[in-house]
Amino acid sequence: MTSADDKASLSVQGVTVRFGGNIALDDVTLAANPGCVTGLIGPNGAGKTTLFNVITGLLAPNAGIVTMNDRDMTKLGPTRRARLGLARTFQRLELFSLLSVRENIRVAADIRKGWSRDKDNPAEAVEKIIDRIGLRDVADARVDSLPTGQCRLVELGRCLATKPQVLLLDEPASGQDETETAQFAVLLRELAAEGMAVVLVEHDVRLVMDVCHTVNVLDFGRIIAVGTPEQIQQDPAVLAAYLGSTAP
Amino acid sequence: MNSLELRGISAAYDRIDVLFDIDLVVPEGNVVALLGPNGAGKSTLLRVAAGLHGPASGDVLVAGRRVNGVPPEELARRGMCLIPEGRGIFPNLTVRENLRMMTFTGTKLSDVEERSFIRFPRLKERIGQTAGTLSGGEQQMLAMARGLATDPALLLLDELSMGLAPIIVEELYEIVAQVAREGVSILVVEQFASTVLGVADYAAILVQGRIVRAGQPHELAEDLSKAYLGA
Amino acid sequence: MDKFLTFTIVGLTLAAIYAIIASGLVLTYTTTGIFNFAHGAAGMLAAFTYWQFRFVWGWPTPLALVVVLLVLGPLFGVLLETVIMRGLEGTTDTVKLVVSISLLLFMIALAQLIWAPGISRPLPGFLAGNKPINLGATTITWHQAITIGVAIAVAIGLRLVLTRARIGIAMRAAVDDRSLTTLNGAKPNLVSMLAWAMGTSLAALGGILIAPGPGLEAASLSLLIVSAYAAAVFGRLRSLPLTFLGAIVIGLVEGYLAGYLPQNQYLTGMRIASPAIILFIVLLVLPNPRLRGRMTRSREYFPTPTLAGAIGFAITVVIGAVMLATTLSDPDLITYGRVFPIGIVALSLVPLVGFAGQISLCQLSFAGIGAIVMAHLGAGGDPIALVWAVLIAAAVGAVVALPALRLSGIYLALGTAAFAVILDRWLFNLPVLSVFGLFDINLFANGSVSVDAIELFGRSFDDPGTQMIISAVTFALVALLVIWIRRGRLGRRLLAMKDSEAACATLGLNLIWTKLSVFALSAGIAGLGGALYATQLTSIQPGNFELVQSLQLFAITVVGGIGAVGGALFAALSLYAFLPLLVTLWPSSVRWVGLLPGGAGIGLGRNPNGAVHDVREGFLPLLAARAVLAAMCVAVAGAYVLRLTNVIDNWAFVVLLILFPVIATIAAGLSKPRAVEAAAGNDEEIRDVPLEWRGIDRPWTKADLEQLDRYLGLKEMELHDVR
Repeated sequence: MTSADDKASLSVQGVTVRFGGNIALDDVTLAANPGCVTGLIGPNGAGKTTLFNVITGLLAPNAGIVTMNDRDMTKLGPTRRARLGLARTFQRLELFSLLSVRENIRVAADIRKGWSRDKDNPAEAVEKIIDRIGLRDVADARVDSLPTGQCRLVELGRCLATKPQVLLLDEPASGQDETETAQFAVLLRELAAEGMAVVLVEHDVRLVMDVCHTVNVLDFGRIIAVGTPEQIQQDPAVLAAYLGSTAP
Repeated sequence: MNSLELRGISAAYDRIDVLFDIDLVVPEGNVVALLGPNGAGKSTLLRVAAGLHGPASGDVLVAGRRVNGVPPEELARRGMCLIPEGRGIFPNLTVRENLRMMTFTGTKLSDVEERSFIRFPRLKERIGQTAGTLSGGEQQMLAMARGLATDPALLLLDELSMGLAPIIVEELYEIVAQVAREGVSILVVEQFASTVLGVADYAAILVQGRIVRAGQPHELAEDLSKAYLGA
Repeated sequence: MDKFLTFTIVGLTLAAIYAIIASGLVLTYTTTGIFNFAHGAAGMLAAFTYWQFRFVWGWPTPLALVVVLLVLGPLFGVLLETVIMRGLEGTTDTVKLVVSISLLLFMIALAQLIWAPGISRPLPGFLAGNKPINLGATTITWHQAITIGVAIAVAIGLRLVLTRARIGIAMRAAVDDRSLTTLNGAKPNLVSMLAWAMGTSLAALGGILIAPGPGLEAASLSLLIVSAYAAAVFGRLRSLPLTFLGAIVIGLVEGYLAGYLPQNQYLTGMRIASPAIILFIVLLVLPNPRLRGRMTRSREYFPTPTLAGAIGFAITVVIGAVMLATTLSDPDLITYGRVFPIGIVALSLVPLVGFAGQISLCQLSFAGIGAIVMAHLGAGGDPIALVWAVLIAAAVGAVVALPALRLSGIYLALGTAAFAVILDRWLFNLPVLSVFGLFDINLFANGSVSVDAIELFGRSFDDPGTQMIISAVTFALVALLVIWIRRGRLGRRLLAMKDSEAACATLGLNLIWTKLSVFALSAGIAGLGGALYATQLTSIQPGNFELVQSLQLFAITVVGGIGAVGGALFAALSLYAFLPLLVTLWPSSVRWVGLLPGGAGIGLGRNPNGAVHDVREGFLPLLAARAVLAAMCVAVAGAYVLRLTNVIDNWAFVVLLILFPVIATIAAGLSKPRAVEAAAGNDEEIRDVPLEWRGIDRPWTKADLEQLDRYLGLKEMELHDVR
């Protein structure tokens, strides 16, 4: 993971999604660079999760393209995209509820082992990830019995086991307490520092402002602002989106 | 007398705790606005009030009587009306059929139509159209018309403005204000804050399942941007 | 031209009936989300009841019709909705399917109980005595004309009810958004009841109209429903107009095949199987649904089997089989010997349904393929034929699964049921087929085929005792294989896929390939079971491998516990040991014993973990109390020796076999404090139990309390209060 060629950048260009008569995403363009955490915020129903579904191939857009490393992925299915180095977590947790924490991560590591030419031992890789996300104490517990904050970490661990280059996180901090969120922020920065391109959808504004290099604001399916966290906090369009058109 | 009173409400989805010990009162004839960022638990609170989601603890009182466990259709018959988030309409039914669904509460179809068309003349033009093909604003009007058709005593509005252009939102809130003047108690949940603050008598800010601030609308304006954007 | 018109009318008449039945099915499915496999059986019961009123009790036709269609039909529908279906809201697809399949089995058994099969019950069509109506080029019988007219009336009537009547509008509203209807003050339960009343009435109408054709026979009449399912699939089980269109296509195809298909012994079956074939083709062309995450959170809990438990299970099975083989008489061995081969077929369901969450209703068809392979390639007792049986059944399994894999559970169920119907009605009944004179394809040779016993090292294993032991050993080995899968990479992967296909895909898993391999694996296991079944039967015929038996095995394996090998043994023992035993002990039970499998499925199909789970829990104290366990084993061995030396007879032996474990369990319960400690010391086992069951399933411990606190967020709350 040292040469620059390995590092991916994700690019979404002109993506439009319509559900019946409603436009969920309207000509959305977004870039995520390796080594950076890119924030994506916006009011409820702005289309954030829809955008993740488009990027991961769970939903076909009506228009627009999604590329990774300048490779057009728009026509590829979710499996192929994952194998190109894309991973995501889910806002509504999609854990394997019948399995333990360790087994959840192991499934992902085994999937990677199944198609890649890696020489690593998946069992060892899983143990490293468990330590990294700090779930050693509950590694054998069934994920069903864990509080939401830890479930979010299991989803993250599962992603890490696929060794992604681009990581999409959908509200990873919801359900975490303050200590957990602080630890999570440290982990996020580490991941970015290692060269991953991280896209973060999050409602915890403090976390977003804290870790993101760039923040995109989505409203009514449109990107209405892009900038550093400081710029976003001052942007009148953003304030209007959150507070109403005639906000003070 | 309070039209709606929530006492010590806590609630959870699956294992995710959403609300912690919420107290909220809607006095008769008042408009109360519940504001807050995404995921604060606003919609859940409305669902608890409407009987669609059982609270983990706490009491729901409608017109002074405890209604925990009373099924939602019974509450509807007692004059409560929830207009849920994301258009409370039946998309595959025509506008007329949507209105007809309101007659289960005992109101005559002619009354329903009359009340609806006075407030929303545009719906009359679209009477035979399938609701799913209406524009977003018209769908929300239909949802409101449905809600108001039975002449409810208590109206619960969830994210009226979601996905709508500001000008349409203002139009809708004018109707809300008008309805309030007619004496209907209203609890409105909103993210799009300033428009609703112009209508509300009283407002509360919900953040991460707890009410962090409550008071007169003008007192709250400053706290809002902090709650939403952390600045 | 005359011929064309004649068969157009034949086709349209069928289309009319299919449309009536299918529209009832769509009505109940869309409004309540339950796909009613027993829909056709309701029509069958109605036809029998009508026949009873009209021709046995001599009621006038209008009175009989009114009572069946407007009184009994709706009442029965309401009964089904309130007593059975309402409780299924929020359960998994598999559970819903098991309940409605069990209902189908129950209703067939009920019809056979009331109207003994094998007696001719002529049911003439309406106005059969009158002269057909002359249409110039051709004629149309009154029954045909009435049928087509009734279908048109049903179409118009449904349209009126659903668009004009308020309750009909409420039914459509419930399809859009059920919780929103409650906000409107409409009673959703009333809507569901009405949907079931109307749906069942339509099934009854269809049943009465179709019965004069194929005749009053419970099973075949109930399964005619596959044709109606095919029509409903045209409309994706949702659209009534497309369902009517589908019915017309299927009816006409069937009609023209009747008229124009060359009259030979190879193709006659194809006409009867044509709706199933069309269903298969439609499934192939249906567009891909969007990949979704989990819809319903399952409450099932299948613990990871331990190695010791697995080996203990395997050894117990083999020892049990040896005891049976050495004590039972030959006729009894032939009766009870079916347990283990059928058990293997049931085992094939465990990885497929239990682990992967896929559904197959044609496992006995795969078994039939294995049996045919065994019969032909294993002539002379060649054991290599067993390998071929596995491979060929696996290959067929993969081909069958392919069209439906992209689709959700219910379509997979329909696709596999259709495959079973194609085999039952057509392929399994083919005579010897010569392919370009090069080689012959010979399935059941238009009747039955004899099967040679396996021969190894010059010894033929042809006595029933040895065969039973071979089957039991194979069962034990396959059970170990299934457990090994569960504990390994594939098992984890399948359980993961069952929980969230969306998550698996975004982690890079090839879903189609994974599903295909588990289908092939499952079909292969079923083929192995079928091959051994064939050697035990010594002569096989299509009737041994019919859809109804697959349905029964599926339902009872779920009742036993589809997630564990014990569930498979439970199903095989219940169906092929307990039921025959019951009839032996209590001969008069033969009349109603057929009701039991269906009844069990309706009553117990809802327990997501299965009966075996509860049984296993009951034996846990015994397993912990080593001394008592050892004493029990000695006692059983002693009884076995007494039996072998003919000191006691079979009955006494069986009584002792049942008595010893019961006594041992009670004894273990008395030494409970020690067992509790042992269980408490085993931390890993406690973690396995879902939180809400702790203290019920296993003794309550301090660790549980801590975990409960964490889960309820009590610590968090305290912190908050301090702040």
